[in-house]
Amino acid sequence: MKNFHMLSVPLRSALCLLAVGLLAVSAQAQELKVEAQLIWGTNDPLSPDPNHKPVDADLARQLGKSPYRWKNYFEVNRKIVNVPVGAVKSNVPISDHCKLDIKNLGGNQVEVTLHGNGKRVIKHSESLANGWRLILSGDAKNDTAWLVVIKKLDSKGDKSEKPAILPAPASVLK
Amino acid sequence: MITHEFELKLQAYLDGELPALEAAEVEGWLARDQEGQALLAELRNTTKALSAAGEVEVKLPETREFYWSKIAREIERQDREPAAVAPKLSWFAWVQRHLVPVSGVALLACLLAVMLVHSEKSSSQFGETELASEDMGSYTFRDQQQKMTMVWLYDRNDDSQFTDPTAVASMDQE
Repeated sequence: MKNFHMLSVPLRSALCLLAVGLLAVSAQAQELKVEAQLIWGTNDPLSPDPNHKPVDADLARQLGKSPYRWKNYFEVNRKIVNVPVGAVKSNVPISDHCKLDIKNLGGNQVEVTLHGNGKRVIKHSESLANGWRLILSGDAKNDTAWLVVIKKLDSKGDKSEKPAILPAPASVLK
Repeated sequence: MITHEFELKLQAYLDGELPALEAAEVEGWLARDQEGQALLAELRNTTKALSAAGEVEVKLPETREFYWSKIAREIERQDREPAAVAPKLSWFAWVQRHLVPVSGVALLACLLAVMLVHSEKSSSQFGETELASEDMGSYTFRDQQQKMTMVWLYDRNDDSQFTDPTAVASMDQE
């Protein structure tokens, strides 16, 4: 502290600015904890698979606000991955037929590539800042739908981050 | 030729500040040099004119040599003394001294935070979708309030009711 006082005011200011800049850069460079959920939307009251459990109320409410609405949403599978900045987590299995590539673009931005039956279907980049969710979805058999919900988890921990690896029925994804 | 040093000595002679030995030397020189006599006469006239105008004549309490030697000794004494220790700053002065760089840093941190939030907001508004096949189509629904982006995939060749988002929405029987 005494030595710091001996420095001139502009130099001290520059050091402080440098420290702030480094903090900002390090905050940007943190790895991203991403949760991917496979969800099945149906108007039936119950899922034929007893392992499926209804999604939490917050997500159900959110999905209920979209133009693609079903009465009930069941969680089929859930994966949590940590992705360093600039890195890609490839072939994250979300079901027997579906895999995800998740790339951390930095600044809470991700690029998600969805593969179905070994073929690339869609690539989408989105910011997951401030609790934003990215939902990739499509129709399935018998007037139902599949949804892959991707969101960023708090790195300190999230109540919903307990891994719930459930068997995914082939019927969910076409 | 009269040097500047002699001019000063002549002025000191006129003011009676020279020791007896030097005064005798000046008198001897003046007896031989007419230019010196003229200068002395001019200095006398100037002194008289100043006295007539009310100028107070200042007499040094000691001889010229002693007066200058005192100044030289004082300079030497100050050179020998170590650098004075800076007085201890009061808490107010300390705060004032550090307020400028700290406030500058705080301002910059605020700007960085605003830029960061703005970039997150702007990036969250622009998702990019890239479909792998021309047979596939997608609808993107973005809801700022619900903080979600939903991408609905459909098969362009499939004429089922799910390819039309309005038809999907009409499925909702709630």
